[in-house]
Amino acid sequence: MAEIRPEEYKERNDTVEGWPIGIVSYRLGDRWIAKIHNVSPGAVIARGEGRSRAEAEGSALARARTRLASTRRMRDAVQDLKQSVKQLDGTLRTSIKPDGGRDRS
Amino acid sequence: MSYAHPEVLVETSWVAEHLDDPKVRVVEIDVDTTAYDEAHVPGALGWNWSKELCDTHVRDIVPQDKFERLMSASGIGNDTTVIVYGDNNNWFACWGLWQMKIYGHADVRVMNGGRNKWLKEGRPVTTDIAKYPAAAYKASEPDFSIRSFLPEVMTAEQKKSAALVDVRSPGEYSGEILAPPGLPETCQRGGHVPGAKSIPWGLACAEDGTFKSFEDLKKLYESKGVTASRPTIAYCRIGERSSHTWFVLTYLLGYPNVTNYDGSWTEWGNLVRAPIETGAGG
Repeated sequence: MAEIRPEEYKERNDTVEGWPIGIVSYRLGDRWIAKIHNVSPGAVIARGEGRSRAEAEGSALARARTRLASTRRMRDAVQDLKQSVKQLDGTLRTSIKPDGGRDRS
Repeated sequence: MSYAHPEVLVETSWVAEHLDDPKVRVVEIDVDTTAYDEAHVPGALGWNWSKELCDTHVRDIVPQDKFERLMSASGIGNDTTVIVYGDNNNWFACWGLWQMKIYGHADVRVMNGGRNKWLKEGRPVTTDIAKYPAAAYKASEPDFSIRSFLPEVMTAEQKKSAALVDVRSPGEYSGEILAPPGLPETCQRGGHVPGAKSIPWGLACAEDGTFKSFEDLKKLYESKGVTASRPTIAYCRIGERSSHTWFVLTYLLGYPNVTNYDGSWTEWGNLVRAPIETGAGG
Protein backbone atom coordinates (compact mmCIF):
# COMPACT_ATOMS: atom_id res chain seq x y z
CA MET A 1 0.00 0.00 0.00
CA ALA A 2 1.56 3.31 -1.09
CA GLU A 3 1.36 5.77 1.74
CA ILE A 4 2.32 9.40 1.75
CA ARG A 5 2.22 12.16 4.32
CA PRO A 6 0.55 15.51 3.71
CA GLU A 7 3.03 18.38 3.95
CA GLU A 8 2.95 22.17 4.10
CA TYR A 9 -0.61 22.15 5.46
CA LYS A 10 -1.94 25.68 5.60
CA GLU A 11 -5.22 27.34 6.54
CA ARG A 12 -6.21 30.88 5.73
CA ASN A 13 -9.35 32.98 5.53
CA ASP A 14 -10.63 35.23 2.78
CA THR A 15 -13.85 36.79 1.54
CA VAL A 16 -15.38 35.93 -1.83
CA GLU A 17 -18.54 37.48 -3.21
CA GLY A 18 -19.15 38.96 0.21
CA TRP A 19 -18.97 35.62 2.04
CA PRO A 20 -16.23 34.67 4.50
CA ILE A 21 -14.45 31.50 3.44
CA GLY A 22 -11.70 29.27 4.76
CA ILE A 23 -9.04 27.88 2.45
CA VAL A 24 -7.09 24.75 3.33
CA SER A 25 -4.20 23.60 1.16
CA TYR A 26 -1.46 21.03 1.42
CA ARG A 27 0.94 19.00 -0.69
CA LEU A 28 0.75 15.27 -1.34
CA GLY A 29 3.97 14.37 -3.12
CA ASP A 30 3.91 16.38 -6.32
CA ARG A 31 0.18 17.14 -6.07
CA TRP A 32 -1.25 20.19 -4.35
CA ILE A 33 -4.75 19.96 -2.92
CA ALA A 34 -6.99 22.85 -1.91
CA LYS A 35 -10.47 22.98 -0.46
CA ILE A 36 -12.71 25.85 0.39
CA HIS A 37 -15.40 25.95 3.03
CA ASN A 38 -17.87 28.60 4.02
CA VAL A 39 -16.91 29.79 7.49
CA SER A 40 -20.48 29.68 8.69
CA PRO A 41 -21.58 26.93 8.92
CA GLY A 42 -18.37 25.26 7.71
CA ALA A 43 -19.46 23.20 4.70
CA VAL A 44 -16.96 22.36 1.98
CA ILE A 45 -18.05 24.13 -1.20
CA ALA A 46 -15.18 23.61 -3.63
CA ARG A 47 -12.01 21.62 -4.13
CA GLY A 48 -9.08 22.00 -6.49
CA GLU A 49 -5.84 20.33 -7.46
CA GLY A 50 -2.71 21.65 -9.14
CA ARG A 51 1.06 21.52 -9.49
CA SER A 52 1.46 24.38 -7.03
CA ARG A 53 -0.45 25.75 -4.05
CA ALA A 54 -1.48 28.77 -6.12
CA GLU A 55 -2.80 26.59 -8.92
CA ALA A 56 -4.79 24.35 -6.58
CA GLU A 57 -6.23 27.31 -4.69
CA GLY A 58 -6.99 29.15 -7.93
CA SER A 59 -8.93 26.17 -9.24
CA ALA A 60 -10.91 25.82 -6.02
CA LEU A 61 -11.52 29.56 -5.77
CA ALA A 62 -12.95 29.71 -9.29
CA ARG A 63 -15.50 27.04 -8.39
CA ALA A 64 -16.26 28.63 -5.04
CA ARG A 65 -16.78 32.05 -6.62
CA THR A 66 -19.41 30.65 -8.99
CA ARG A 67 -21.27 28.91 -6.20
CA LEU A 68 -21.10 31.81 -3.75
CA ALA A 69 -22.26 34.30 -6.37
CA SER A 70 -25.53 32.43 -6.66
CA THR A 71 -26.28 32.54 -2.93
CA ARG A 72 -29.16 34.88 -2.24
CA ARG A 73 -29.55 37.04 0.83
CA MET A 74 -33.28 37.17 1.33
CA ARG A 75 -33.15 40.53 3.09
CA ASP A 76 -31.24 41.91 0.11
CA ALA A 77 -33.74 40.34 -2.26
CA VAL A 78 -36.60 42.17 -0.54
CA GLN A 79 -34.64 45.42 -0.63
CA ASP A 80 -33.83 44.84 -4.31
CA LEU A 81 -37.52 44.32 -5.03
CA LYS A 82 -38.48 47.49 -3.18
CA GLN A 83 -35.78 49.39 -5.08
CA SER A 84 -37.05 48.02 -8.39
CA VAL A 85 -40.61 49.06 -7.55
CA LYS A 86 -39.38 52.53 -6.61
CA GLN A 87 -37.45 52.86 -9.86
CA LEU A 88 -40.39 51.59 -11.91
CA ASP A 89 -42.66 54.05 -10.14
CA GLY A 90 -40.26 56.87 -10.94
CA THR A 91 -40.03 55.79 -14.56
CA LEU A 92 -43.81 55.70 -14.89
CA ARG A 93 -44.19 59.12 -13.27
CA THR A 94 -41.65 60.77 -15.57
CA SER A 95 -43.12 59.09 -18.64
CA ILE A 96 -46.57 60.48 -17.93
CA LYS A 97 -47.14 63.98 -19.34
CA PRO A 98 -48.45 66.72 -17.03
CA ASP A 99 -51.84 66.56 -18.76
CA GLY A 100 -52.05 62.87 -17.88
CA GLY A 101 -51.27 61.60 -21.32
CA ARG A 102 -48.49 59.11 -21.93
CA ASP A 103 -45.32 60.10 -23.68
CA ARG A 104 -45.39 57.99 -26.84
CA SER A 105 -42.04 59.14 -28.16
CA MET B 1 -15.36 15.47 34.35
CA SER B 2 -15.14 13.21 31.33
CA TYR B 3 -17.78 12.67 28.71
CA ALA B 4 -20.79 10.55 29.60
CA HIS B 5 -19.80 7.90 27.04
CA PRO B 6 -16.12 8.47 26.23
CA GLU B 7 -15.93 5.08 24.52
CA VAL B 8 -17.65 6.45 21.40
CA LEU B 9 -14.87 8.90 20.67
CA VAL B 10 -11.34 8.05 19.56
CA GLU B 11 -8.39 10.32 18.92
CA THR B 12 -6.39 10.31 15.69
CA SER B 13 -3.48 8.76 17.59
CA TRP B 14 -5.70 5.79 18.57
CA VAL B 15 -6.73 5.29 14.94
CA ALA B 16 -3.09 5.45 13.82
CA GLU B 17 -2.27 2.66 16.27
CA HIS B 18 -5.14 0.46 15.05
CA LEU B 19 -4.81 0.76 11.27
CA ASP B 20 -3.84 -2.90 11.00
CA ASP B 21 -6.23 -4.16 13.67
CA PRO B 22 -8.51 -6.73 11.99
CA LYS B 23 -11.26 -6.02 14.52
CA VAL B 24 -11.36 -2.36 13.51
CA ARG B 25 -12.77 -0.96 10.28
CA VAL B 26 -12.27 2.71 9.43
CA VAL B 27 -14.85 4.37 7.19
CA GLU B 28 -14.72 7.86 5.68
CA ILE B 29 -18.25 9.15 5.12
CA ASP B 30 -19.16 12.23 3.18
CA VAL B 31 -21.77 13.78 0.96
CA ASP B 32 -19.52 12.92 -1.95
CA THR B 33 -16.34 10.92 -2.05
CA THR B 34 -14.10 13.41 -3.85
CA ALA B 35 -12.07 13.98 -0.72
CA TYR B 36 -11.74 10.23 -0.20
CA ASP B 37 -10.52 9.87 -3.78
CA GLU B 38 -7.86 12.54 -3.21
CA ALA B 39 -6.41 10.59 -0.30
CA HIS B 40 -7.67 8.93 2.85
CA VAL B 41 -6.64 7.16 6.01
CA PRO B 42 -4.83 3.95 4.96
CA GLY B 43 -7.24 1.05 4.92
CA ALA B 44 -10.31 3.26 5.20
CA LEU B 45 -13.38 2.58 3.12
CA GLY B 46 -15.26 5.45 1.49
CA TRP B 47 -19.01 5.68 1.83
CA ASN B 48 -21.05 8.14 -0.14
CA TRP B 49 -23.82 9.55 2.05
CA SER B 50 -26.24 10.17 -0.80
CA LYS B 51 -25.77 6.84 -2.54
CA GLU B 52 -25.04 4.41 0.25
CA LEU B 53 -26.81 5.72 3.34
CA CYS B 54 -29.85 7.44 1.85
CA ASP B 55 -32.81 6.24 -0.13
CA THR B 56 -33.20 9.34 -2.27
CA HIS B 57 -36.33 7.98 -3.95
CA VAL B 58 -38.46 8.09 -0.82
CA ARG B 59 -36.16 10.44 1.12
CA ASP B 60 -35.30 8.09 3.93
CA ILE B 61 -32.40 6.24 5.40
CA VAL B 62 -31.57 3.07 3.49
CA PRO B 63 -33.78 0.11 4.36
CA GLN B 64 -32.51 -2.66 6.58
CA ASP B 65 -31.60 -5.08 3.77
CA LYS B 66 -29.55 -2.49 1.90
CA PHE B 67 -27.79 -1.48 5.10
CA GLU B 68 -26.95 -5.13 5.74
CA ARG B 69 -25.51 -5.45 2.24
CA LEU B 70 -23.37 -2.33 2.72
CA MET B 71 -21.98 -3.54 6.03
CA SER B 72 -21.37 -7.06 4.72
CA ALA B 73 -19.65 -5.85 1.55
CA SER B 74 -17.46 -3.60 3.72
CA GLY B 75 -16.27 -6.60 5.68
CA ILE B 76 -18.01 -5.35 8.78
CA GLY B 77 -19.42 -7.98 11.08
CA ASN B 78 -21.72 -7.40 14.02
CA ASP B 79 -18.73 -7.48 16.36
CA THR B 80 -16.51 -5.14 14.33
CA THR B 81 -15.41 -1.84 15.84
CA VAL B 82 -16.27 0.80 13.25
CA ILE B 83 -14.48 4.14 13.27
CA VAL B 84 -16.20 6.86 11.26
CA TYR B 85 -14.66 10.12 10.17
CA GLY B 86 -15.06 12.59 7.36
CA ASP B 87 -14.63 15.98 5.88
CA ASN B 88 -17.24 18.64 6.58
CA ASN B 89 -16.31 18.51 10.26
CA ASN B 90 -17.53 14.94 10.71
CA TRP B 91 -21.15 15.89 9.97
CA PHE B 92 -21.82 12.95 7.68
CA ALA B 93 -19.69 10.67 9.83
CA CYS B 94 -22.03 11.44 12.72
CA TRP B 95 -24.97 10.70 10.43
CA GLY B 96 -23.33 7.34 9.71
CA LEU B 97 -22.98 6.64 13.42
CA TRP B 98 -26.60 7.66 14.02
CA GLN B 99 -27.79 5.36 11.25
CA MET B 100 -25.67 2.47 12.53
CA LYS B 101 -27.24 2.97 15.94
CA ILE B 102 -30.72 2.89 14.37
CA TYR B 103 -29.82 -0.53 12.98
CA GLY B 104 -28.29 -1.64 16.26
CA HIS B 105 -24.55 -1.71 15.59
CA ALA B 106 -22.90 -2.06 18.98
CA ASP B 107 -19.47 -0.52 18.58
CA VAL B 108 -19.17 2.53 16.36
CA ARG B 109 -16.99 5.51 17.27
CA VAL B 110 -16.16 8.92 15.86
CA MET B 111 -12.58 10.02 15.14
CA ASN B 112 -12.28 13.30 17.00
CA GLY B 113 -11.40 16.19 14.67
CA GLY B 114 -12.15 14.19 11.54
CA ARG B 115 -10.27 14.28 8.28
CA ASN B 116 -8.89 17.78 8.79
CA LYS B 117 -7.12 16.91 12.00
CA TRP B 118 -5.58 13.77 10.49
CA LEU B 119 -4.18 15.78 7.57
CA LYS B 120 -3.06 18.69 9.71
CA GLU B 121 -1.08 16.32 11.90
CA GLY B 122 0.73 15.04 8.82
CA ARG B 123 -0.44 11.47 9.31
CA PRO B 124 -0.13 9.00 6.42
CA VAL B 125 -2.74 8.81 3.69
CA THR B 126 -3.19 6.77 0.55
CA THR B 127 -5.21 6.63 -2.63
CA ASP B 128 -5.36 2.84 -2.54
CA ILE B 129 -8.85 1.44 -2.22
CA ALA B 130 -9.06 -1.11 0.55
CA LYS B 131 -10.78 -4.46 -0.04
CA TYR B 132 -11.92 -6.75 2.72
CA PRO B 133 -13.47 -10.20 2.71
CA ALA B 134 -17.24 -9.94 2.85
CA ALA B 135 -18.93 -10.48 6.18
CA ALA B 136 -22.42 -11.68 7.00
CA TYR B 137 -23.98 -8.72 8.74
CA LYS B 138 -27.37 -8.91 10.41
CA ALA B 139 -28.98 -5.61 11.38
CA SER B 140 -31.52 -5.19 14.15
CA GLU B 141 -35.00 -3.92 13.48
CA PRO B 142 -34.69 -0.14 13.18
CA ASP B 143 -34.77 1.74 16.47
CA PHE B 144 -36.56 4.97 15.69
CA SER B 145 -36.45 6.19 19.27
CA ILE B 146 -33.45 8.29 18.21
CA ARG B 147 -35.19 9.75 15.17
CA SER B 148 -37.98 12.31 14.98
CA PHE B 149 -40.50 12.50 12.19
CA LEU B 150 -42.67 15.47 11.30
CA PRO B 151 -45.65 14.61 13.57
CA GLU B 152 -43.41 14.56 16.65
CA VAL B 153 -41.90 17.89 15.73
CA MET B 154 -45.32 19.41 15.15
CA THR B 155 -46.40 18.19 18.58
CA ALA B 156 -43.25 19.57 20.15
CA GLU B 157 -43.80 22.92 18.48
CA GLN B 158 -47.45 23.15 19.50
CA LYS B 159 -47.29 21.69 23.01
CA LYS B 160 -43.72 22.65 23.88
CA SER B 161 -43.22 19.01 24.82
CA ALA B 162 -39.58 18.96 23.73
CA ALA B 163 -36.75 21.41 23.33
CA LEU B 164 -36.17 22.16 19.67
CA VAL B 165 -32.56 22.89 18.79
CA ASP B 166 -31.80 24.53 15.46
CA VAL B 167 -28.13 23.83 14.76
CA ARG B 168 -27.85 25.75 11.48
CA SER B 169 -25.94 28.99 11.07
CA PRO B 170 -27.43 32.22 12.44
CA GLY B 171 -28.18 33.39 8.89
CA GLU B 172 -30.21 30.28 8.11
CA TYR B 173 -32.00 30.47 11.46
CA SER B 174 -32.99 34.09 10.97
CA GLY B 175 -34.16 33.52 7.41
CA GLU B 176 -31.56 35.77 5.83
CA ILE B 177 -30.36 32.86 3.70
CA LEU B 178 -32.09 29.66 2.63
CA ALA B 179 -28.97 27.49 2.53
CA PRO B 180 -25.35 27.71 3.63
CA PRO B 181 -23.41 30.03 1.30
CA GLY B 182 -22.42 28.17 -1.85
CA LEU B 183 -24.86 25.30 -1.39
CA PRO B 184 -28.19 24.75 -3.17
CA GLU B 185 -31.37 26.09 -1.66
CA THR B 186 -33.69 23.26 -0.67
CA CYS B 187 -36.65 25.18 0.72
CA GLN B 188 -38.98 27.97 -0.23
CA ARG B 189 -38.97 29.88 3.05
CA GLY B 190 -36.33 31.08 5.43
CA GLY B 191 -36.58 31.06 9.21
CA HIS B 192 -36.97 28.46 11.90
CA VAL B 193 -39.50 26.31 13.73
CA PRO B 194 -41.26 28.56 16.26
CA GLY B 195 -39.69 28.25 19.67
CA ALA B 196 -36.51 26.57 18.46
CA LYS B 197 -33.29 27.62 20.13
CA SER B 198 -30.39 28.60 17.91
CA ILE B 199 -27.30 26.62 18.91
CA PRO B 200 -25.11 26.24 15.80
CA TRP B 201 -23.35 22.87 15.66
CA GLY B 202 -19.91 24.50 15.58
CA LEU B 203 -20.28 25.91 19.09
CA ALA B 204 -19.72 22.35 20.31
CA CYS B 205 -16.25 22.27 18.78
CA ALA B 206 -12.89 23.87 19.39
CA GLU B 207 -10.91 25.61 16.66
CA ASP B 208 -9.33 22.34 15.52
CA GLY B 209 -12.71 20.65 15.10
CA THR B 210 -12.41 18.47 18.19
CA PHE B 211 -15.23 18.45 20.71
CA LYS B 212 -15.20 20.88 23.60
CA SER B 213 -14.96 19.60 27.15
CA PHE B 214 -17.93 18.15 29.02
CA GLU B 215 -18.11 21.26 31.20
CA ASP B 216 -18.08 23.64 28.24
CA LEU B 217 -20.71 21.63 26.39
CA LYS B 218 -22.94 21.45 29.46
CA LYS B 219 -22.68 25.19 29.93
CA LEU B 220 -23.41 25.81 26.26
CA TYR B 221 -26.65 23.82 26.08
CA GLU B 222 -27.91 24.56 29.59
CA SER B 223 -27.48 28.30 28.97
CA LYS B 224 -30.12 27.89 26.25
CA GLY B 225 -32.45 25.83 28.42
CA VAL B 226 -31.53 22.53 26.77
CA THR B 227 -31.13 20.11 29.64
CA ALA B 228 -31.12 16.37 30.29
CA SER B 229 -34.48 16.59 32.05
CA ARG B 230 -36.43 17.36 28.89
CA PRO B 231 -36.70 15.57 25.51
CA THR B 232 -34.65 17.31 22.83
CA ILE B 233 -35.10 17.36 19.06
CA ALA B 234 -32.20 18.59 16.94
CA TYR B 235 -32.63 19.70 13.36
CA CYS B 236 -30.73 21.51 10.62
CA ARG B 237 -31.30 21.60 6.85
CA ILE B 238 -31.03 17.93 5.83
CA GLY B 239 -30.21 16.24 9.13
CA GLU B 240 -26.45 15.81 8.93
CA ARG B 241 -25.37 18.74 11.13
CA SER B 242 -28.08 17.81 13.60
CA SER B 243 -26.74 14.27 13.81
CA HIS B 244 -23.49 15.89 14.98
CA THR B 245 -25.40 17.70 17.74
CA TRP B 246 -27.42 14.56 18.47
CA PHE B 247 -24.08 12.79 19.02
CA VAL B 248 -22.87 15.52 21.38
CA LEU B 249 -26.03 15.55 23.46
CA THR B 250 -26.47 11.77 23.54
CA TYR B 251 -22.93 10.51 24.01
CA LEU B 252 -20.81 13.37 25.28
CA LEU B 253 -23.36 14.89 27.66
CA GLY B 254 -25.41 11.73 28.21
CA TYR B 255 -28.86 13.23 27.69
CA PRO B 256 -31.33 10.32 27.76
CA ASN B 257 -33.90 11.47 25.23
CA VAL B 258 -32.49 13.14 22.14
CA THR B 259 -33.67 12.65 18.58
CA ASN B 260 -32.47 13.79 15.20
CA TYR B 261 -35.17 15.27 12.96
CA ASP B 262 -33.57 14.48 9.61
CA GLY B 263 -36.52 15.88 7.67
CA SER B 264 -35.21 19.15 9.09
CA TRP B 265 -35.73 22.56 7.52
CA THR B 266 -35.95 21.06 4.03
CA GLU B 267 -39.20 19.47 5.16
CA TRP B 268 -40.55 22.08 7.57
CA GLY B 269 -39.58 25.07 5.44
CA ASN B 270 -41.54 23.70 2.48
CA LEU B 271 -44.57 22.55 4.41
CA VAL B 272 -47.89 24.18 3.54
CA ARG B 273 -49.31 26.08 6.52
CA ALA B 274 -46.47 25.19 8.85
CA PRO B 275 -45.80 28.15 11.15
CA ILE B 276 -42.37 29.69 11.07
CA GLU B 277 -40.52 32.44 12.82
CA THR B 278 -37.91 34.70 11.31
CA GLY B 279 -35.27 36.90 12.85
CA ALA B 280 -32.47 36.23 15.28
CA GLY B 281 -33.92 35.80 18.78
CA GLY B 282 -33.60 32.23 20.13
